Amino acid sequence: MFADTLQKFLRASWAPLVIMIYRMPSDALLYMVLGTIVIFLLIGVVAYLRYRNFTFFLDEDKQEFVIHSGILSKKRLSIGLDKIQQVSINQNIIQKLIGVYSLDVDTAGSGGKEVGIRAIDHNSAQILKARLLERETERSETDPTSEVPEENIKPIIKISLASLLKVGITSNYGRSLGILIAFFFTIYDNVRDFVQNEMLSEEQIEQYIVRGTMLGFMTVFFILFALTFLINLIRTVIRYFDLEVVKQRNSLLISYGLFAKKNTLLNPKKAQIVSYSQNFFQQKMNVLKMKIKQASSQEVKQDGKKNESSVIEIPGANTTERDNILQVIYDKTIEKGKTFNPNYRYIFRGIYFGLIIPIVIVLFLGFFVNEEIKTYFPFIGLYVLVIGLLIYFGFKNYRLFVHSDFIIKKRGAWDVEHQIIEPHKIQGITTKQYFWHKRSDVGHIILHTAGGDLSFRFANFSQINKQINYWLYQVETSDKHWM
Amino acid sequence: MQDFTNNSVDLDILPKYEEVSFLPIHKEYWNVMVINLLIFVVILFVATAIAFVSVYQSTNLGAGFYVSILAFVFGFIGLLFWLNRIAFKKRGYLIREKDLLYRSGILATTTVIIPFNRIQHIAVHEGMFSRMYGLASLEIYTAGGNSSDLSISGIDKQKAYTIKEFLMKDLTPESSPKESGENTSNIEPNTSETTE
Repeated sequence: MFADTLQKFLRASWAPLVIMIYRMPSDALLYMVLGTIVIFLLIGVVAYLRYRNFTFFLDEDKQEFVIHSGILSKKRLSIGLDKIQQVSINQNIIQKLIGVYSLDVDTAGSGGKEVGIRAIDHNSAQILKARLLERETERSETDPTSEVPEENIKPIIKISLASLLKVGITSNYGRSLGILIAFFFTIYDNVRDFVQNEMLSEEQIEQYIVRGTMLGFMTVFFILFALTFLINLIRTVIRYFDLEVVKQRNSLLISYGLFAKKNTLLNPKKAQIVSYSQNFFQQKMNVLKMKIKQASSQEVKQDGKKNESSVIEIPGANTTERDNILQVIYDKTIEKGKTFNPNYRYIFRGIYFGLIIPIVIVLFLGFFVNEEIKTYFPFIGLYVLVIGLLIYFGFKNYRLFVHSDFIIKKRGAWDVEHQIIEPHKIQGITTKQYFWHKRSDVGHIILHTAGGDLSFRFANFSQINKQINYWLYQVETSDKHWM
Repeated sequence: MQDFTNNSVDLDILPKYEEVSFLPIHKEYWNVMVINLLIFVVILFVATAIAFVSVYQSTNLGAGFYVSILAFVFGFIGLLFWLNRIAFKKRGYLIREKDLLYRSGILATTTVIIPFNRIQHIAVHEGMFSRMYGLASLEIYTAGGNSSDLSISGIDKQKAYTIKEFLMKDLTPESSPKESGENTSNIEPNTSETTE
């Protein structure tokens, strides 16, 4: 608790503190030290009071989890057990040192209220978690035959370091490359400025760049590339080290992390969108990335940290492991069913935004603004080739598969992603048709779920409308609840 | 179990949402839209006037310049009115047995369909100008977030409340067993109070 308060205090005030220390004349240092001690004492007192006033209990009658907190202004927070989305037990480095855990309770409420207990020992955390989610399981286990004592303790997935490395190597290079290119140009600009400031002639600069620096740049580029690569790799490994998925009754328990161990319990019923993506290399190595999106409201999404908890990522699973997880979540085997293709206009859009507009801009700049850009014109051919391929594959992979139990959207040129939703998880449907698409019978649709939207553009409108009517029929007659 | 049937569903005999005829929004709502537009136009005029004055002080441009600017502004206003008129005409809603439809849009026709059993809560909002004409807007919230929340403006106030009551009735049996996992307790009829 003390550490936590201190941390909170420091987080809020480190910047002014640093400035204060920096600006302080040396004779006032004594006061500084004294002041610091006083502040520390105060923090200690506050921490103690916060600790004393922080209580929580489970109200069995009302089926509520109640937390009292606050020193001066008391706060009583109660959460109905049925509204609990997810209970996760985490441990950061400080907590690891003192051997406590933090327990976070997530609710899907539109207020986005989230409760956390900072310091709790492992046993109580486990018990509390079990109790909080008890009702969940009670409700879902209506079938008496399924009361098999917990024998499913062996993990259904255990991601090895090797597959984590594979994923780390093959993903995120797009972002890495972007950072690199930005970096490269900044350096290039700086060098140019530097050279110009040294009052050298244009010719000499050109020579410099062409002769000596070209090689240097290549080396720097390569080193940087390797570095970002490595950093990404290390990040992935640290974050998802020793990822395990265990089936606990009807839920999935997912735990991962090297330094900070994270435990997340996922109730399959609350999964809204399940997606997995794979690129060419990953396909060859049989690894893929899975993402499970849970019900979350817009308010929750605005806060990056909370958003993380409503999306669960499982990198490095192979196809059989993926199928296992899907089996647990849906209790069925995924089937693709009928295929919807986008209209060829989908390509036009890509060509328009990806090729024509950028090229026209570059040409315009080259001819009218800055002559130097003309030297880069030969690269346009390469650009057209790369983007053209991306557009082509993007179109080829853009598909919607509709089965009576599943809706699967496939998309992506390089990282091919499949998003799976179940029809009864649809919250609403939006269709959109521009008037110039009316004659060619093309339209866009958006399926809204509590875990985000799924859109399919440039669909055959009359066909997809038929499908929409069927989905509405499914949603409106089904007694399955969406979470 | 004898009653249980699971025949295949013929897609062609399902009710077709795309062939329904929508109910237009209330005629008087056009007045509300005009008022809103006029407010915008006044702001626009004030801004242009300020710009005029400042330009007049610094440089001395010919009368043709001002005329063309004025013509542009009026043209812009005309366009706004025209677009708003289209938007007004395009808007329509329909309540079917099991879902609610809303159509809108200027360039694109957007249709939103929300099944009753996915509605989280409903509110009736009476705006300042709408109230002058006895109109209200019906706001329907789902768990799908902002993107699927719906606000239908320009419904007769009485009608809006009737629709709300109707939807509430439909909502309650679905969600009254508290384990249904609704997000908020907004299902209680008194929580969706009118605003403003």
